[in-house]
Amino acid sequence: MTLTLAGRLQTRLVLLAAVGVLWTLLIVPALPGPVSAAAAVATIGVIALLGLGWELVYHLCQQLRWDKDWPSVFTLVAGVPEAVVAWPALVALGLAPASVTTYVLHFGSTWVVIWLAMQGPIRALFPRWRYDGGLFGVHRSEGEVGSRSETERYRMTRRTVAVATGIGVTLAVVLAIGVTVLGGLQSPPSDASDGAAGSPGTAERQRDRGDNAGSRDSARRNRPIPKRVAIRAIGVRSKLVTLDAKKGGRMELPRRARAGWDTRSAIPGRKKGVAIIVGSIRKSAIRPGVFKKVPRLEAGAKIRVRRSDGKKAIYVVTGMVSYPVDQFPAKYIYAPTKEPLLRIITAGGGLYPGNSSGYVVVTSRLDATR
Amino acid sequence: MTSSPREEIPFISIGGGLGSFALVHRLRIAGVPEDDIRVISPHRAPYERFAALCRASGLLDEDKLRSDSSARMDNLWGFPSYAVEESWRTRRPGPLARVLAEPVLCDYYTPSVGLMRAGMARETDRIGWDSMLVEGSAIKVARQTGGGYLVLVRRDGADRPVAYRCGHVHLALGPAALQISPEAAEFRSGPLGGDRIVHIYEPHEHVHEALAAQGGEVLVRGTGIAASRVLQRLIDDREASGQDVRIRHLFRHYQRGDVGPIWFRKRGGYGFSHQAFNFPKAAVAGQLRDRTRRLAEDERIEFVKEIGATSTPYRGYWASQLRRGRDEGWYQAVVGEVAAFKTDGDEVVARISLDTGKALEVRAGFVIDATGVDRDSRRHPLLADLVADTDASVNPLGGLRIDEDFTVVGAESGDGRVFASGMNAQGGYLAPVDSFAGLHSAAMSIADALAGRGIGHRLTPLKSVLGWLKWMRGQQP
Ligand SMILES: Cc1cc2nc3c(=O)[nH]c(=O)nc-3n(C[C@H](O)[C@H](O)[C@H](O)COP(=O)(O)OP(=O)(O)OC[C@H]3O[C@@H](n4cnc5c(N)ncnc54)[C@H](O)[C@@H]3O)c2cc1C
Repeated sequence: MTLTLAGRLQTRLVLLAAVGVLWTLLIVPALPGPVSAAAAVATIGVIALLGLGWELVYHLCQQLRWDKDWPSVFTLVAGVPEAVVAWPALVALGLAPASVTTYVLHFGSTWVVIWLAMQGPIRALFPRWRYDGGLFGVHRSEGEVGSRSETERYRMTRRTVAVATGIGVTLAVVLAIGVTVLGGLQSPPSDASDGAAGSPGTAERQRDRGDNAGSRDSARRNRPIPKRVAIRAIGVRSKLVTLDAKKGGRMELPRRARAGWDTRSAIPGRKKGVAIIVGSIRKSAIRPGVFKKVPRLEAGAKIRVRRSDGKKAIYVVTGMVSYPVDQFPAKYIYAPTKEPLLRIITAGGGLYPGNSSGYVVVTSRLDATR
Repeated sequence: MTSSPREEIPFISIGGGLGSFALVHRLRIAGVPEDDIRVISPHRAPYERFAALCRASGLLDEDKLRSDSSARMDNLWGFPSYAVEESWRTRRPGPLARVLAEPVLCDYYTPSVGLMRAGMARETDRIGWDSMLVEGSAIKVARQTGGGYLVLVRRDGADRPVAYRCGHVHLALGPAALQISPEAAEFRSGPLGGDRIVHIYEPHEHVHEALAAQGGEVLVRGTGIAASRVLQRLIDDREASGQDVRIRHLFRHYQRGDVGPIWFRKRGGYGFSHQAFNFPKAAVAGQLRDRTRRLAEDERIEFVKEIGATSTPYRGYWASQLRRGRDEGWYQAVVGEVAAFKTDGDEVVARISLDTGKALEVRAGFVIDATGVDRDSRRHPLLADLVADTDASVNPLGGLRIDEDFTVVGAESGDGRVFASGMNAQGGYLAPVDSFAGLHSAAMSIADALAGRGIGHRLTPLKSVLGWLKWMRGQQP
């Protein structure tokens, strides 16, 4: 590939935005472990952003080559350092998937697909691309052949290129920041796109799922499910909806005024394992979350859960911890336990009035089942 | 004197070689009907002249060209590339693997003459070349009052030229002639004629036959791809026949090793300068192309000379042959210029002024001149006329002066334009304009300029993909 610097930048942005994002959306469901589409797309944004710097580096390396050529194998191999450098950035931004394998599969496959696109298909769409040093749009004044001096026309071309690249860069930055913020911020549970790295949705669940896989379907029909939750101490009474993991392992959240039971956690009242109930802690006056008063909860308070089989499980609160968005210890929270526990996970705020993001986890132990 | 002009044809391409082919291929793909195009050429097939030159210089169908896998003559997208096609046809992954590793882990993949020709033959049929072809030679391009041009064509066997009126003209006539130095020309007009001093692009099998039969001295001039090709052939002859074929190789400039600063280092050694292609790939599209575009003419021409200086690709097999020749003494490099050729019996004696200032006489049975072709447009009668009749002019490299759209500057006629590509456009904004990739790049620019003038369309992504699908299925465009 013989790309010019402007061509490199444009090609990277266009291919990542078109091919990279499409490919990501396609494979997210197939990737192992919980991955959110938003975080995966944001990953592409980060790669695009970092790539602007990388392209500069490649361009400088290219200067050391007599023929100023950049063999296509270089483009392929460059994926390795790029992947390595992007990882800490993703971790810092809270976008890194739970497992490195997932990351390698996502990054690697996207890289190869884009590289393959560059080897041919893109030329079927944009036949001039390869003759324009990797630019998609070069301004040409049609029908004015010879009417303007060549240098002047060329300068115009360059200006257009500069503008186009500028727009591309801005778009990429906005995209990256937007997706990062959307993904990283604790958005209201009613927004389906909620969730940052480590929000409810973890590796543990995978394991649970694997454990029960065989007996699951038959068991499912007649096993009891929790129907209501009540915490008198803070005036909570809510129906429980059932929450399933969405594609990619992340969990959907109930509407703000509702609490929900994670179907892959233990059934409340069981003799062991963690039951998980999720709901919003938003403190807004207009549409407050079902658990907005959770910060007032004290140890020893009772949580009652009524099941579909009429039984009632009573739990006693033992503790409460809040976590910033990017530090949710999913592994720990979801880890199977010998003791029968119930955890209420609230999203959308912390323990203090000013906190508008984060998670609060209330842990309680089974006291009695009636 | 001429038969009556026919109705106006929007576009005529004169030459009918690879340059005309690239442009017509592009125009047809974007929907220009056959009736709107005429191609004037003495040859039936667009690859005829090319194939003849290949054959003469010893390139057989299975021999490798000097071209990139995706610089595909019969497919403007370069996709699927030659390597893909070769892998597909031969069911071997070799060529594909090679494009992946080139040029770092192995030499560049290059297509063979046969592969290129077969593709061209298919595409020639597909785009309806025959129905656009007017067999004959153009003898004049004249401006018409009111715009457009009149092209006079002498058709084979006809006694009167036919005139064609047209809107726009494209010129891709290739070289004016083979390059034969004055000393050689003088010798060839003598008693031994053209038998002893041959040009590499002339048929010269008799030389190889004679050497294979009884051995002897041969003097080779030139250091480009053709020269290295003929050296390989001579050494093959020597080894196959067991005869004592002795080679003197005349260098005008002897390159001793790599030269240049690290960011602009050229590989070379034993007199040769090495480069995979005539021009670095980046001169087709990349950074070097950008630079040629920005430079004013004198600087540009210096730059083009530098990046396109005579070179030959480094190939392991060939290098080892020469090494053996040097070690065993039957291959000798001589650095200098020929002052004169003389006849002595049935041998040629070349008087060479060495670069050391001394003179040397080399006696040889044959001289093979591989110094190239005559690149000066002014020696092409048709172009010489054009330069004389219009404001068109010729640059120091011998090409017509063109602008970025390959429009010949000064040859406008009302709305009509003359375009040039291939050798006739060298020295312009695209250094490798006389190569497969360059001809296609030029064709795209010219076709876009024509689209701006109402002939055909730009290749939008949709049109392009549809055109590509038709190509893949072998359907008429
Ligand atoms: C042996 C050899 C190997 C090459 N290998 C490669 C390679 O591997 N890769 C690469 O990129 N390039 C290669 N090239 C370069 C390539 O051939 C040229 O780029 C290409 O042929 C130029 O095309 P053209 O149309 O300008 O000229 P040509 O293909 O030579 O066609 C010009 C045509 O114009 C005709 N003509 C001349 N005068 C008139 C007239 N008055 N009226 C009508 N017709 C006229 C001629 O008869 C001829 O048919 C090679 C060239 C040679 C000779």
